[in-house]
Parts: sequence; structure tokens; C-alpha cells
Amino acid sequence: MPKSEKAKLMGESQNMFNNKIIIGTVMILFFILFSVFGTLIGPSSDLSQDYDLSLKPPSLEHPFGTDLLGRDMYIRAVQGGRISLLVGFLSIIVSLLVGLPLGAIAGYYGGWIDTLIMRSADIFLSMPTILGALLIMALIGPGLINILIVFSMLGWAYIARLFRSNVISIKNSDFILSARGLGASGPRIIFRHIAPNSVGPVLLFALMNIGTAILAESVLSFLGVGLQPPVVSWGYLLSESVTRYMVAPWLMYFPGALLTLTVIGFTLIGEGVSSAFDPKERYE
Amino acid sequence: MWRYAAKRLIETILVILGVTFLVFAIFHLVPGDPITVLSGGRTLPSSVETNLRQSFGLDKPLYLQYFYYVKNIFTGDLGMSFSKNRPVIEILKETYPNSIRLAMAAIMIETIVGIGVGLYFAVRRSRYNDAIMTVSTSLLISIPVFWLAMILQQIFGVRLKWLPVSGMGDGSLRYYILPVITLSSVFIAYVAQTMRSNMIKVMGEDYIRTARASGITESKVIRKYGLKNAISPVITLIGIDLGALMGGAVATEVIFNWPGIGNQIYLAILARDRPLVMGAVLTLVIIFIFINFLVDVSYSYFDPRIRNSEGR
Amino acid sequence: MSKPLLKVDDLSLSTKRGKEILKNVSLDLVEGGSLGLLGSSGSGKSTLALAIKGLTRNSFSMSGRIIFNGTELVRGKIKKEIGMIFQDVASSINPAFTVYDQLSDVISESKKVSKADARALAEEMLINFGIGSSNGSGSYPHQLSGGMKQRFLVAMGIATEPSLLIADEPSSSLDIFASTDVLKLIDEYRKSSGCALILISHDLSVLRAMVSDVAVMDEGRIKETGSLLEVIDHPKSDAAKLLVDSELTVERALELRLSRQDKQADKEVADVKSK
Repeated sequence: MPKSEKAKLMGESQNMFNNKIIIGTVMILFFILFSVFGTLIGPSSDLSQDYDLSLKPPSLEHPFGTDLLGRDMYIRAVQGGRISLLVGFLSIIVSLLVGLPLGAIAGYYGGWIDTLIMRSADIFLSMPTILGALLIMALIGPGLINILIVFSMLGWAYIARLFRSNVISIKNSDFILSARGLGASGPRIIFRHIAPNSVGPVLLFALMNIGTAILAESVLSFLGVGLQPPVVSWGYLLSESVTRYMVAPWLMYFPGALLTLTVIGFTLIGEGVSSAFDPKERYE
Repeated sequence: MWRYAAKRLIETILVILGVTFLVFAIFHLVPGDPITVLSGGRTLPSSVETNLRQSFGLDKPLYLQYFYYVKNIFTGDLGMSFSKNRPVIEILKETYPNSIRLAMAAIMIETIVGIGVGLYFAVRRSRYNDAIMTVSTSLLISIPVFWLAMILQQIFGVRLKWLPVSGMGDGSLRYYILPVITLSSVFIAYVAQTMRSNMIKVMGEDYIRTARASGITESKVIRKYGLKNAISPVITLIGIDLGALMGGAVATEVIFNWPGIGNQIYLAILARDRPLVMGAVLTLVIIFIFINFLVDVSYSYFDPRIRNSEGR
Repeated sequence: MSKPLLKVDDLSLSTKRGKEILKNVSLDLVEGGSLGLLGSSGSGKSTLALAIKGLTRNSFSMSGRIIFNGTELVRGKIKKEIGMIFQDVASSINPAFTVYDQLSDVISESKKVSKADARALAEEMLINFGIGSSNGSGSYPHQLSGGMKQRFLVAMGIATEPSLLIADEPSSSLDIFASTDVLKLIDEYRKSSGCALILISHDLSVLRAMVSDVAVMDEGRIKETGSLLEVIDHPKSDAAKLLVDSELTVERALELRLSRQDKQADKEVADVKSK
């Protein structure tokens, strides 16, 4: 079917889903820019403690208010954004680095190694995310690196399972068989032939899960097993506010809103992508 | 069906053993003596330390240690809480019922509200309604529950002073309202979304056209034929959440200071009470996996197609 | 002269994006009459049937009128006096309910009888149709054969005792025995109730057996109407000629074999011609 005709058939509804992807992307780009350059545009840029300024509500000078130590919450929110987004992207990247090779090996070679990898994947897949992370974090202690370790432990299994099924479906196609007939080695076939043809959907799936990772980090930090100061994230700022937000609600309004909006961005992209793949959802 | 159940049971047991093995492995891979890891750096009375060494079998070879570990878990010996100086299992027995009460209330609300809202927006479709649905479900799915809880407390507790924001009080309904809204929010959105999109799909099927053509009233077509065909993925979803909720709702319980297992875990984290954290969380993970098994097997019983085809 | 039952008057139907599915369709049917709709797939036969039944999608724009029993039909309002037998057996039966449950719902709704009576009637009907079991326990659709499913759709179509029955390719997915069963059931109902029939088919032999008049459709238009024999013997429009020419009659089948220089066929052709 020619592209124009297809577009016509999909009609306006298709635009609606594209809109979701576009809005989501714009939101995420905005928050990335905010986190990277936010300190440059704020009215004050220092984080010095000043007890005269303790717990001041939002003002022109301190648009997000100040915390107990008199630090500017706007600057802290920008810094928290850096870490929240970093954890989101990095944990997915590490999950991919672990999950893709394991999925490829399981799918390509099959046999006992496939069984071993996929049975252990089952263990991680059956664990609830937050509780599983809590369990491991309680053992290995808080910290940025440890969070990444735990998230990739819990995240690789999805990616391996997905990539494995893609590899299996493409493994027996004619062009792979002919490459094998020409004497190409296993790893070479996986890297040169199978991966470029099957990695797309997996990357898309991983991208959609960044929002989930950001949310999970915020919960862990909130519960006190996530990050450790001076590294702060939005979730950490929220956990700091927990003893004071009844009297100083701005401590939680701003980090929470930024966190929510960022995750909404990823949710919208996810919904847009999945409804683009599901013809039944279209609006008649 | 029994064959399926047996197969799933074996898988479930293997997975649970895998989880215990994982925890055991991490426990031993973390640098430092296991007792030091467990105590979180505090100095223990020597009698307590000797007891611990004995119950973990630390002088024995590793595979025996794992055996002891698993045996202890399944005989309900989850160790002693440092901060409370009581067996972990007792603390679980005390607080878990409160968590279950909250979970049951949340399941009820998300089933009723989620299905109702999903049906409404499936039947009353317009560009405007579709947009409301998209925006509100995306918001509920993306909002961190503990932040939603803080906002609800600000509005209904601090500003309006309508509802209590902390604890279980006398256990009356008022104390449940905010925690239950918080806990059910995400799955209200998921259930409504799934209900709506399935209902839309089903209402376009040929067999619905047959029912309409045979003169069955539209409201009956929706309530009986549409609903029954569209609801099974929704039930699956609620089943998944049943597992998650029975596995505790740590963040929600913390924010509302609910005297449940989740709040207990949080307090134990603050007190660096590792036996309590590990014992309680591991128990919850096992309950989660086991409930998922039960839910899974019960579908195969309720679906006439599976029930009839796989033999009785 | 019989009373007119159905009048379709200059009916046009197009999709939201302006694609015309039906163009200026007009046809008449008297009480107890029978009309075959003949045409290649995509010619608009099924859409016309759905329009008469009032089941076209709301997004389609429609002009023209459909008059049934002297009153104009309102779109979306289902007339139970018009029964419909759907084509796609696999997807037209609800998989989540027993056939027994589905049929008794239709009966209780249309005859305004008690639930228990409706159940009894449904059971009797299913047994007569060779679908149900005599102990009253219902079967789920996936447990039925293709022929049973099609017979069930006939039961659903006539359960409201319609005075016009529309059958959309009721036998095309079935083998020859099951197909004859289904056509017999439709015929029996017509004999006992005197209802009119619109039969959609691209199979001339089925039409020969079931209807007296035929309308030939092509690209959303009615190209030709007339008595069935007239159209078969002297097709006027190109569409009708094409359809009649493509029918595999006994003679044409033998000619095909003849072209392969089949000696046995030689004799058979001579036999046929001598009759």
C-alpha cells in the first residue's frame, strides 16, 4: 500500500496518537534542558545555607521557596532533575547492556544455555519491582551506583526475553542461513546480521520504560534506601520534605510536579507508540 | 486443567527457591562478614552474635548454609528484629492484617470505579471524552503515589480539615478514605483504560451486530454481551494488582502512617534493622509470587474455552 | 396483486472520507416475494442489506429512503420484523455465551414471554435445528461444527418471526450437504410464515433454488433487475453477462473437459444435447 493511502486510511485518529508522541517528546526535551541549563536562568545560583532564609515560601527571589537550611529550592530541584533523569536513562542503558547480549545468546544458541538464562530471567520477572529493589538495596546499601545495579538486575530480564524472541524469529530466515552457509561465526552473525534487524522494538520498549525507572528511583529514595546526599533526586527532595511538608508544602509541590510531568512525558510516548501499533484503537 | 495447575505450581516453587537463592547469594557477596552486614555495623551482644552464627550455620559449608536459610524461612523462623527484640514473624503477624484490610478496600474501589469509568467512556465516545480519558489516565499512571498522597493530605486534611491524614484511629471508614484513594489510583487508571479499549473493540465485533440485529436492546447488548466479552483482560489486570497489593504498599503506608507491614519495613530501614527488613520483604515477595500463581490457575478454571478444551 | 413490503428509494451511502459505497439504489419487494442480490464481492450487496436492517455505521452519510410496511425506517433503529442471517459464521456468534442462552435472550425480548418460556422455546428450536442437546444444557459456540453454527445463525435470524428475511451468503462457507440443510431451513420458515426473502449470493445455483427475481449489483449500483430466468438467459448489463458467463454449468464443465480432448466427455456432451 502506498504511504499516502495508508495515511488516509489511518485518518485523523492517527494524528491524535502522533500528537501523544510529539507532546511527550517535547515535554521530555524541555525537562532535560531544564535540568541541564536550569541553574543558568534562575534568579540565584548559590546553594549557600542561610538560616535567616529558613523555610521561606516561594517568592520572586526564590521561586520554589527555601528549605530548612535556607537553601534555594529551585536550584535543588534543577539538580534533582539531573539525577532523576540520569538514573532513568542510565538504568535503561545498563539493562540493555546486560539484557541484549544475554537475549541474543539465549535465542541464537538455544539448548541448555537458553534454559539457564531464561529460567533465571523468570526469577527476576516474577519479582515485584519495588519490593525486589527494596530487598536488594537493603542488603547492598544506598547510593547511585547501587541503584543502577539493582535496576539493571531487575530490568535485564524483560529486555532479554523480548530480544530473544526477536532473534529466534529472525534466526531461521534465508539471509541468516546463507550467511551461516558462507562460514560466518556465531557472534559475527549476531552482530552484523541479526542485531540490526531485530533490536529496534527492544530499544523502543526500553525507552518507554525510562519513566518507570524514574518513578521507581523516587520511591526508593523516598523510603530512604535510594540515593545518599549530596546526590539528590526529585524523589530524594520529596523524602526530605516528609517531616515538614504539612507546614511548608512548597517543599513537595515543586519536585513532585516536575517528577510527575516528566513521567507523563514518557507515559504519553508509550501510549502513542502502542496505539500506533494497535489498529483496533482507532477512532471511527 | 489440573496438569496446568501442577505445572504452574512447580514453576512457582522453583521461582521462589530462585529468589531465596538470589538473596542468599547477595548476602554472601556483599563485602564483610554476614553478621556485620546483618547488624548494619552496630556491635551486638556476644550472646546474640553466637545465636545468629548458629542459626545461619556460619561454621558449616555454603550449601548447608543455604539449606539452613531456606529451612528457616519455610518454618517461619525469620530471625529476630534488632530494634524490637522480637521475632520477625510475630511483627508480621501483628501488622500484616492491617495491610490486607487496606489492600482489600483498594481492590474493591479500583474494580468498581475502574470498570464503571471505562464502560462509560467506551460507550459515550466523542473527541472531548476521549481527551478527558487520555489526560486523566496518563496523569494517574504517571503521578508518584506518595506525592499524590501528600497532595490529598494538604487538600483534605490540612486545608479543608475533612479527613484524618495519619494512622488508623479507631479503624473507622474515615481513616481509610485517603489511603485507599492513593493506593487504588494507578490501577483505577489501568482498569479504566483496559476496560474502555476492550469494550470499544468488542462492541465493533460481528457477534455484537448479530445481537443488535436480533432485536436485543442496546442496554442489554452493552451490559450482558459486551461486558462479558470485554471483561476478562480486566480481571487479569485486577488479579495482577491483587498480588501487588498483598505484597504491601510501602510508600502509601508510610505517608499515612498506616500501622501495616509496609510502614514497619520503612521504620526498620530507618533503624537499620536488617533482619526485619529482609525477613518482611522476602515474605512479601513470596506472597506476591504465590498469589500470582493462584490468580493464574483460577483463570484457567473460569474461562469456558480453557476449561473445556484441556479436559476436566 | 400482493401488497408492497419494502421499497428502497434512491439510496446512496458514502464513507466519512467520501468514498461512495451505494449509488442511487432503488428496489421493490412485495409481501412474500423473493429477491436475489447478485454481484461480485465488493459490489455493495452486504452494505445494502445492512442499510435495510438499519445497521450501517453512524459515520457513513446516507441519503434516500427505505420504506418498510408503509413507514420510513429510521437508521439505527432495529426492526425486529426484519430478520438477518449473517455471513461470517466464525465471528458472528458470541463465543462467551452458550447458543442456548443467546437464542433464549432473543426470544424473550421479541415475544415478551417469561424467561422460563423463552428457554423452553429456544431449546425446542435448537433441537429442531439439530444444534442443541435434548437435556437442555447449552453448548458453547466453539463446540459446534461450521454447519451447526450457520444453522444457529438462521435460528437467530428467524427467532423474531420476521416478515422479511435477509440472508447474506448463508451457505457459501459450507460444504454441499451443510449448505443444503441451511437453505432447507430458510425455505421451511418461508413456507410456514409466508415471509419475504432477500438472498445475497454470487452462486447462481443457490439463487435458482431460492428466489424468483434477481437484482444485479456492481460498484454500488443496481445494474439490472428482472426475473431470475430472464436475467440468466438474456443478461443485458455487462455485469450480469460477466456473472452469468462465469457460472460453471454442466455444459460448460463438459466443454472444458472437451477442450482437453477427453473422449468420455465427447459422449457425455452428445448425451446432454440429445435430451
